[in-house]
Amino acid sequence: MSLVMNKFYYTEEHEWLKVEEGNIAVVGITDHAQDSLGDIVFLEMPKEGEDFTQGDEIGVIESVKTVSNLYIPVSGSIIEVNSDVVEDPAFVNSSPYDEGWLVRIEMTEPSELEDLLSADDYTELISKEE
Amino acid sequence: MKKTTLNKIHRGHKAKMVDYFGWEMPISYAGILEEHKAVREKAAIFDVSHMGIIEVYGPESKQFLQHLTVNDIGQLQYFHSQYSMMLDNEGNILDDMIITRLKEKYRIVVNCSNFQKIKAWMEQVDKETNFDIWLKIRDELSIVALQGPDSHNIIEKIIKHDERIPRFSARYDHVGDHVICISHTGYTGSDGYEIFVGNDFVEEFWNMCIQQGAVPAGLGSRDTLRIEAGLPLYGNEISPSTTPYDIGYGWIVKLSKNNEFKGKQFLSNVQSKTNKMYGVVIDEKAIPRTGCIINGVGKITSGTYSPTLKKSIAIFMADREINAGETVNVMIRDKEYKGIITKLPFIKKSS
Repeated sequence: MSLVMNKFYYTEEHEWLKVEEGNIAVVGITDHAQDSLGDIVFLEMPKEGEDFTQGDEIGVIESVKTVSNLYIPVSGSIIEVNSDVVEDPAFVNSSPYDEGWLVRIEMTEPSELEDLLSADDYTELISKEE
Repeated sequence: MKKTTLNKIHRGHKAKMVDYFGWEMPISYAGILEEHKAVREKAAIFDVSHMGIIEVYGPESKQFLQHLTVNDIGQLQYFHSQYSMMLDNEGNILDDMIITRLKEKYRIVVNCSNFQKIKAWMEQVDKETNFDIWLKIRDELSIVALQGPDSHNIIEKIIKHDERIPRFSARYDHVGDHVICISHTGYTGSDGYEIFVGNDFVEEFWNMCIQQGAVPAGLGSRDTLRIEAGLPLYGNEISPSTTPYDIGYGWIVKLSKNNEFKGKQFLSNVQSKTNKMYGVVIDEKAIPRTGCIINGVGKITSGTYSPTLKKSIAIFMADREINAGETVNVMIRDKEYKGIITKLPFIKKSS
């Protein structure tokens, strides 16, 4: 059974979002997602300063086995890309909720958080797949 | 879904399982990269019991196989193995295979995806030709591939002697009361063995290999390994419409052997006998997958990340004459990436 963090928000596409302070949030992919992808070898991430609308494709995650898109859970602009994981994507496999975070965003429509799944909802979603 | 005898062990080890042509098989245990590395540097074991084993017995088994296969079975000595193919009357490749001449029979190992097709074809040709032979399907046997430079040490500890088996040869041996057949073959580009073990003993045998240091591995790393080694796979590089020449295996076609054989007429009329199978290396952050187009050059048949080279690699069939070293544009997800054409294999065989 994959790890799900309390107090994080989730999407059906297996991203997580953690609100830091104010409108700043961090986004990554879940333990379940990294486990399904297997060894991740390349990340294509957006540029700092780019603006996106909820659900936009902002990156590509490439594992040995397959390729998957990264979608932004809520509208916002990219304020930081985790350059350590771009350099060594294995962090996404070993620490998906911590060292393996992908982008930091400034949310422009924080009310969209209501559209996201809670930890309980997400646990239920993946229990059907595992 | 069909399950191999080792299925329980795979599930017990929490391997990731996939549906592989109707067989529930492990795609990976600890991870493709780790398993790949184990084969290149130490040793790993793969359950390849999904592959089909068909044996040919009888006084005319040699003539029967001469008629069925493109290579010259007449040259095959006892306990030696031969790479070959079966073609139908129209010249379509039905499968590629390894044939081993054992004491009283020939053992053919075919791809699981083609097993039913080959079985039906062999039965049909048997009826057509009246050779004095009989066929036996050996589904009471499992196959374990032990691959990597440490394979020799591991197998020697299990069989308790160190008499080496030459490459592309096989030998019966004993582990306690159990008879096993060890074949010095593989599909990884590293040295190793494929071992035929009774289903009643295979779990114990698997655990013995692990105790001696072999890492359990799945189909994911088997694929990255064979792509690095430039080995073609039926369904990717080999299809009904390719010829043995297209993939650089013209040397297995023995048009001069002293008899008619299935596909001979077609092969005699093939105009282009040049190898069209090449590799491309991409030193950018994208992996070319099967079906990706190389602009003006051809289509990718297998692509992956090479854990050894730490670059993206792919095998493709060239539509035009090309040279190693040529720079090409590969389309990955609607974007162009620079690639360098290379001869296969991508890595030199390690021992």
